[in-house]
Amino acid sequence: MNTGFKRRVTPQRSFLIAGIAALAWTFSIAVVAQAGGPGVADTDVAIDQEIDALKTRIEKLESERAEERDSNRRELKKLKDKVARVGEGDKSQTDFLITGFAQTGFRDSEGSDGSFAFGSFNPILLARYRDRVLFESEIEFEVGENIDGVAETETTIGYMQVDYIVNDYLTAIAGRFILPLGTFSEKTHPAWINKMPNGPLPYAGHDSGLLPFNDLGLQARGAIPIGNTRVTYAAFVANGPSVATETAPAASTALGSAQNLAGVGPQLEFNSNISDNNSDKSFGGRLGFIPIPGVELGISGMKGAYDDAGNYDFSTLVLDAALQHSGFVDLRGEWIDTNQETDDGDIGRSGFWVQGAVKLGGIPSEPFQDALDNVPFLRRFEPVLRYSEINSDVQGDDRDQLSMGLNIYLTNTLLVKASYDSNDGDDEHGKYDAFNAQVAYGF
Amino acid sequence: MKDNTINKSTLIIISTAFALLLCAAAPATAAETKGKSGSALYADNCGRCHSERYPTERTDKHWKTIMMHMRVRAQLTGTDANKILEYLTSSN
Ligand code: HEC
Repeated sequence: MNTGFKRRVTPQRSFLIAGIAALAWTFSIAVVAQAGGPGVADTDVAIDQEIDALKTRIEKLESERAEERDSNRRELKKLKDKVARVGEGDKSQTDFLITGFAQTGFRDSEGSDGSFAFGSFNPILLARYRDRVLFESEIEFEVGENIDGVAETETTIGYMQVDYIVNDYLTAIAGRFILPLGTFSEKTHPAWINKMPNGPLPYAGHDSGLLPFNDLGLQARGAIPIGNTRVTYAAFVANGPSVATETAPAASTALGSAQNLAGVGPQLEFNSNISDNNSDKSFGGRLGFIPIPGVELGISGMKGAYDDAGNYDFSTLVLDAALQHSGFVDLRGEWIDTNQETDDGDIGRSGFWVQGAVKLGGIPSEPFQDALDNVPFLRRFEPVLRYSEINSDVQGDDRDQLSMGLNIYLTNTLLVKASYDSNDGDDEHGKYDAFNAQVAYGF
Repeated sequence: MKDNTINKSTLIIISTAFALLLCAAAPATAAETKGKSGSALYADNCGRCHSERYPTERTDKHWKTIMMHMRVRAQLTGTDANKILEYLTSSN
């Protein structure tokens, strides 16, 4: 069976094809040679080199990718762990923790022997339900002295309140809370925050002074952002102060014994507000304004009857200001005015304090910091200066005090404080110097 | 006896000055605040009353509780408090 194709490929034809192929080959060689290109050998070398280069490039890319994959894996593992931890927290929906502060110290004042002061231990209990409800309480353990000079363990509740987050701008509070009068009580009284071993004169310790420290009632507080600035507010209704009874020791009343003078009206009692002594509640609050970060101005006040019949008011107006600069300058102060109505007219008491502190380590001056390089420990130092004053309509009650202090920060919340107070007053009791030292820790 | 009562006109003057200051400062910066990051808000707010508390001091769960405590005490808005919480729990 002969196909037409087989018939056509005769020996003569295959010679012809071979001839043409040979010619074409010679021709192509000639063309390449004429173009001046490399010979076959040269081309091979170039190709080999290129392949090698590609190989190393691929190898490099592969190892880079492997490295990237490993680091991604590590990141992912970290994130997974974190999500798992957060998940656990969310599952339980609650949290309970103990935080707080403690302090102990030494005090030596003119006319008395220097003593190691017992100090206090102030655990704060925080119990949270989801992100809506927080129970918070500060319990102060302290050893004091009774009238006979015998040691007496004291347990005080600084505050015990429940906070309910209503929305972004409003929190509702019930219980015993620190009163939002000025800023010292609410914001800077804890020993690790206060830059002096003692409070300024108008406070004279945190539960006696011109103002009540805490009270039982209801409070609404929060913030309203206005552009880059913030207005803060707090409004409260509370039992209010009352009249001291025989059993309430004078030491725990406003200004201590200074007010316990005959003929100056009933003695105000700030610490017996557990059950109200009259039907009149006290009202008050604070408006704060933060125009730029680091500056805060506040105005606060309170008013309400203090006597059993509910006829006479105790009222107060407080202005406060604070300025921080670059984390190393801290200036703050308050002006306090109080008024107590009595049968014999009004008794006015007022006071103010200003305080400035500078952390040496934060001073942004290169030559200064270079100089500190020789004694790096000095970077932990913070000198403080404070002046405070109280003035009263009651004869012999006026006092003023200049305090010079030095704080050494061992850590951000563990510090050693020392101060020298120079006191002056209307009467001889008010004129004395005192030295205070304290170790304070916020935990 | 010197008159130490709260003078009504003093109170009115102070409150008015306060309100004016508030109105003057508010509009100037209206657009900026929402864009502030958690770390910027932390820097602005967390050193106002006490020395800085480092993110590494606490676990996420405890920061959530403490930020609720500070939100109430320092009167932060919920948005700002949440941003700061996010910053603290991503840097501890
Ligand atoms: C308005 C003042 C103020 C501001 C602003 C403030 N704190 Fe506090 N902070 C306090 C006070 C006061 C305490 C001590 C609480 C007490 O003793 O009742 C405290 C305590 C703490 C504690 C100890 C644990 C605790 O809950 O008591 C930590 C941690 C803390 N603050 C972190 C922060 C962080 C983070 C910020 C920034 C959002 C901040 N604080 C802003 C006043 C403030």
